[in-house]
Amino acid sequence: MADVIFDNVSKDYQIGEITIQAAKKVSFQVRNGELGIILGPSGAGKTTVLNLLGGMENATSGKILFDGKDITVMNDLELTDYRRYKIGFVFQFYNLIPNLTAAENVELAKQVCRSPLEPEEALGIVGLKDRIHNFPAQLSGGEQQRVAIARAICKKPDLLLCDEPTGALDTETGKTVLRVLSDISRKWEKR
Amino acid sequence: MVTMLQKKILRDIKENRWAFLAIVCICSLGIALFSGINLYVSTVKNEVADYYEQANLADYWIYKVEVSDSDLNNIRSLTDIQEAQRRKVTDISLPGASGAVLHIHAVDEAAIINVPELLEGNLLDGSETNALLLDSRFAEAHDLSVGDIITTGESERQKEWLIKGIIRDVEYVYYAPEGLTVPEYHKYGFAYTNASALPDVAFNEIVLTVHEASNLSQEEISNKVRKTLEGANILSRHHQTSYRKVADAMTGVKQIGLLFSIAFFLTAALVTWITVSRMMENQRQHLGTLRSLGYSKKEITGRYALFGGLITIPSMILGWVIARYLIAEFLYGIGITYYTIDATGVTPFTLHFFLSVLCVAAVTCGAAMLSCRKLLKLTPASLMRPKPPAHGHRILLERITPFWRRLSFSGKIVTRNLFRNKARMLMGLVGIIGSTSLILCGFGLMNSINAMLDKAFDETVQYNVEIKLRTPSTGEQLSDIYDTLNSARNIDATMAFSVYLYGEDGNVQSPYLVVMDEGQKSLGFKDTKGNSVHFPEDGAFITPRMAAALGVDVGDTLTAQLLDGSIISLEVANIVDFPLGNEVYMGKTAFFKGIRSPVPGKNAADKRAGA
Repeated sequence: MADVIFDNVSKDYQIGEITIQAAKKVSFQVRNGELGIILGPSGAGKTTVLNLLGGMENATSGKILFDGKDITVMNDLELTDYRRYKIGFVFQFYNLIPNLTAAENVELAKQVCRSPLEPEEALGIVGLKDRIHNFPAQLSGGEQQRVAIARAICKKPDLLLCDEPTGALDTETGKTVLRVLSDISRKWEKR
Repeated sequence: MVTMLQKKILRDIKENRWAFLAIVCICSLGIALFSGINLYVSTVKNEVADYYEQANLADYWIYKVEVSDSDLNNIRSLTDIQEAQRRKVTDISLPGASGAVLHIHAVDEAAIINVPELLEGNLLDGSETNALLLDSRFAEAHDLSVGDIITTGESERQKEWLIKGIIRDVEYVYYAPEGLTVPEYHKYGFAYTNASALPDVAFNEIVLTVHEASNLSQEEISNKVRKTLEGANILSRHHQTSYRKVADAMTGVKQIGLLFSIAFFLTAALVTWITVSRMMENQRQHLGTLRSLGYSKKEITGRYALFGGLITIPSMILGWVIARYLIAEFLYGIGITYYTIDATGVTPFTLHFFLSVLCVAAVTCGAAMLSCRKLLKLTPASLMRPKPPAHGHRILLERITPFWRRLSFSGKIVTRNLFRNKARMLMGLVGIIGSTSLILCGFGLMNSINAMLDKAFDETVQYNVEIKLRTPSTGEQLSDIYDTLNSARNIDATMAFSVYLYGEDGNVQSPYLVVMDEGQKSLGFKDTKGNSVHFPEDGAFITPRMAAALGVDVGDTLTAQLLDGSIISLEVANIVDFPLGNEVYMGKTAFFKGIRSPVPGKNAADKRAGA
């Protein structure tokens, strides 16, 4: 059985009198333990699909099944729990809290989870053990992105969603970040 | 343990410390102003009320030329009367340049009503005929102390008194005899002595207290007393100078305090609300991140209420310190130089303080939580995107083509932007309108007061000097006065006494009724249209304010009751535009026509002399 099923999912945005169709009847499946990649040109709706899957946005139509449960029918509290316990999100622009250190940013995510990783451990996995007391502004783009990955993996999520995690990075740094992600995927393959 | 979210919020506050500090300052000033003034008012009110209770302040003062033993017993036997005591009351002057006057009370038994409070020395034992207990303020002003001798009266009526004790008295908390606005301790004081020390003076005053449980109205008690003692004047607490002045002063301070602090508080609330809301707007993307991590709306809103709490707590402390040690202490310092009470210091807290803190908490926490809630209504994904710019609209002015065409490019942008954010434009307008009107109001007030003063002293009041006679004078004494003033261009004799005026809906006013000669030249009366008017043979002049308060018009008949109970009916002959006071004026002929019962025995007469 597939863990993630996207079934005919559409998302429309209403801006004034104009309707923008950001995702049109998207269907795909990702099996447990797989590393899935969504490719497409700018404006294709990649971010929208990830937001829908992460419970950050409501679908206009269609079904999104995760572990057999339809998240499009969940209420706000259920979605909060879903994001809290199941999902780890890494954003294109890192979205770290600027006035918290690397360790504290990870701790922020850790404090709402059951049996999470310790911040030091999570940061160790992404190779930032010696930078844990630095603020985001004191880190390079790649390092910030790795802190964001550490923040996502410390929750031990069932699903790690990364929205263009190397989009803001140069090729070399991008490769490092992707290597980290593929290591984690292999190491943490569940079931 | 501090959670990371709390740590983040604390660091946010640290980063915005100047904005934060400004809000704390404005909030603490709001708290300080509101609670400081009320702290002062309630301190004085409570101290004075305790003092009235403790020293058993009289409920009524009855004046009669001579009060006999049977008069006193008759009053004591009236129902609902708790205690009654008679006293001799007279003024004695101290010879010399000071011209000081002592209002002296003589009692034939230990005082149980208006009990004097001994501060130094000893009380009288009842037998002394040349000892007195002296007003502490008067003693201080004249540098007198226990054991000193003072001389009163002149030539053969001269008498020496030993100061046996220094006292404070509940009847003289604020001792500014009629005509004075602030106390003059050097000139006016009071003293207590034994009745036997004033053999020439008859008992002429009764003080009485009414049972607390009594449900008789002031009018009913006054009528009972008048029936028992014919020709007596009766004054309630509300006519007693000290009681009235303290109550009026406290009401005045409280009202001004309330007005200013409410105006200030509203401004503070507005500024705080806007600043906190904007601080929250800046947190938009952080809120999105928190939501994506799985924080619930409740957790986020609850934590951001910390913003409010962290503003309220320092504002509360700072506000209290300013209220207690600056505002209340300063006002109290001024107050107790006028109020002769046991100054025990400002009370630390009143309900007003907690009320103002609650308001600050409501505004700050409310602003933080409401703007947080408003933002959290968006989905986490839209929170993480920057705030979309407000939509541009075509505005009404664009339809007026000739106008719009003439505007420059930047002019067009500015005009459109003005209307783009309506809330901000409205706030700006309200602020500008508010402050402009405040400035205009100040100038307007100044102008109108100046205009009124000019009118009052150039047109209405024609006299230069007013002489008030404190005691009834013989014809001989009066002609002495006239002789002294022989170079005056014009002298008008005037009678003035307190009356109760009853309006239509049970409204009572207690103005002075001023009776003058028809041909008087001291006051120029004008009706509301500006035409000069003179006293008619019937009826009285009242001011527009009095007419409004009583709900009467020209031609209506008013009933005026004098303090001794006699009734005069007054027809409203005209409503005069009189800028000073709120008294009732009438001609002598009309006054005597209007009297139904005999003229009162004790009248204040004053002379108005134009030099």
